[in-house]
This record gives sequence, C-alpha cells and structure tokens, in this order.
Amino acid sequence: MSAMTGPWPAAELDPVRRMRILVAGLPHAAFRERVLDAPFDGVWGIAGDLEHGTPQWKQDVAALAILERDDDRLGVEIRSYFGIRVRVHAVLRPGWCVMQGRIFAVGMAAAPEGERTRFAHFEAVRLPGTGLLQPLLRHRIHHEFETLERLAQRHGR
Amino acid sequence: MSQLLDALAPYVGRICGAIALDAGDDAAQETLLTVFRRLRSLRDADALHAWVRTIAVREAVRAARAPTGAPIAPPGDEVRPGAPGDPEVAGDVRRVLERLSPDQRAILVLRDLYDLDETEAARILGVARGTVKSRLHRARAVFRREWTP
Repeated sequence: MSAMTGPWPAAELDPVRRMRILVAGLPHAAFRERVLDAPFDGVWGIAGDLEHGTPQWKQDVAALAILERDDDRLGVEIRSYFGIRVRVHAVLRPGWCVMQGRIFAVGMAAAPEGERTRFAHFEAVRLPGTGLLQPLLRHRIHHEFETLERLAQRHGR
Repeated sequence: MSQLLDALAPYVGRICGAIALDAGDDAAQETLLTVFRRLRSLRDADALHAWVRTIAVREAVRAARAPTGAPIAPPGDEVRPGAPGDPEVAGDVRRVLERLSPDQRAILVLRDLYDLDETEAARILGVARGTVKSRLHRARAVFRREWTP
C-alpha cells in the first residue's frame, strides 16, 4: 500500500510564467515583458477586451471581431491598417490570451504584482526571413506597452 | 503549443510541487522552459510524458537543494494555494514532506505517485537500485510515523 494517502502539494504557474514557456518553443517570436504601473483589473480590462481594447493599444490592428465563441475558445477576425484580414483561433482566459493563425501567433499574459501588473506579449511570424523583423517588433511592443499602461490607468475611472 | 502547455503544466506542477515544495513554481517553470526549447529533438511522441517526468524530477531535486535563504515553513503554516482536496490533509502531507530530503521526496513521487519500479526510479535519479530502496524505506517510515494516531 502506498505510504502516501493525502493530497500532494502542487506548483502552479501564473500566466506570465506560462507565456515565457510558450515563447521558448517559438524561436522567431518577438517577446517583451514589463511591470505596468496599473492594477490588474485595469490592464486586463483593456487587453482582455479584444474587440474594443486591442485596436486602442495594438498599433497595427484597425479592428478585431469575435465571430465564434465556445467557452474560452474564440474564432476571431483581425483587420490590419493595411487592409489585410486574417482569421485566427484564440484562447481567452483571465490574464491569458493566445491567438494563432496559419502564419502568425500572438499572445499576451498578465499577473498582478502588488498594486501593479506584470504584462507579457509576443508576436511570431512563421515565414522565412521574418526572424529579421524581431528587433522591429520588439521596438513596437515597447511603445504599445506605454499606450496600454496609459489606457489601463484611466480604465474604470 | 498552447494546448500542449495546458496539458503539461498540471502534470509538471504536481511533480515539482511535491519534490521542491516552496521552490516548486521555479522548478516547474525551468522544467517547461527546457521541454519547450528541446521539443523538436523529441523523436517519439509516445515518450513525451516519460521524458517530461525525468526533466521535472531532476529539476525539482536541483531546485530544492539550491540555497534560497527562505526558511522552511513551520508546521501549521498556510497551505500552498492550489493544493487539491481537503486543506487540512493537504497541509499535513506538506508538513511531512518538509521532514524529508529532496531525494526522498523524489523517490516517493516516482514510486507512490507514478508507480514506477525501482529500476526506472534509479535511472531517473542517477543512483543505484539499492539506494532507491533504502531511501524509499526511510521516507515511508517517516510517513507511517506521522500518520499513525
């Protein structure tokens, strides 16, 4: 008979830690994380509101529409400022969102850190040579974080 | 990738939480980082869980041995969030696990949680079968003593 009869302690990873792991498997992903000076509810109130929030802080997204929803799984259409429309599958949970299409993947994760919020975001394009875009994408994400922080500070006021 | 992470995170969390205790979150993260970086080198998909288990156990033992400066929680301290089931029983299990060495906890996990034989446990931990046997004997003795009214 087993000497162990009771429940075992289990480790749990917050969404930001999980995103670091996901990115480890995406060699061409442009990834950044930062502590935003805004509470979790404010940050996720913007970032997790895909249809209304995403176009406000993502520089290349003109519009985003949720076409299908099955629990935490979504069918999403994204329209860029260049007029390109793509359909992607998304998983959306509190503090976690990953969208995956045929040629690209995008993810964001948030976890409370005291009164502030640790936020992580990646973009990965699966086309030859797009690894060269990484510095450009990381630079853009840096500016997007500043926009998101500003919006999150105002959210709910 | 995202679905794979959903599937592996609880599996790894259980191994690392039981062996590394307070360092379990860090051990789980390091394990999964290694797994996702090396995923392309995995030849046999059926061997995924065994491969992940080996990495998790070794990483959890390493993390538990590493000096952190953090004191071990005294008996009666709060139960870690995420412990399944009755919090009182979960707290008791944790307190007993704290009295064991990381190596003893690893052997308990492999033998009593995953039902591996001594040969496989010895391979994963890089020790002789006899060592597995003696460590398991001592670990189970601690449990029996603590659980006997």
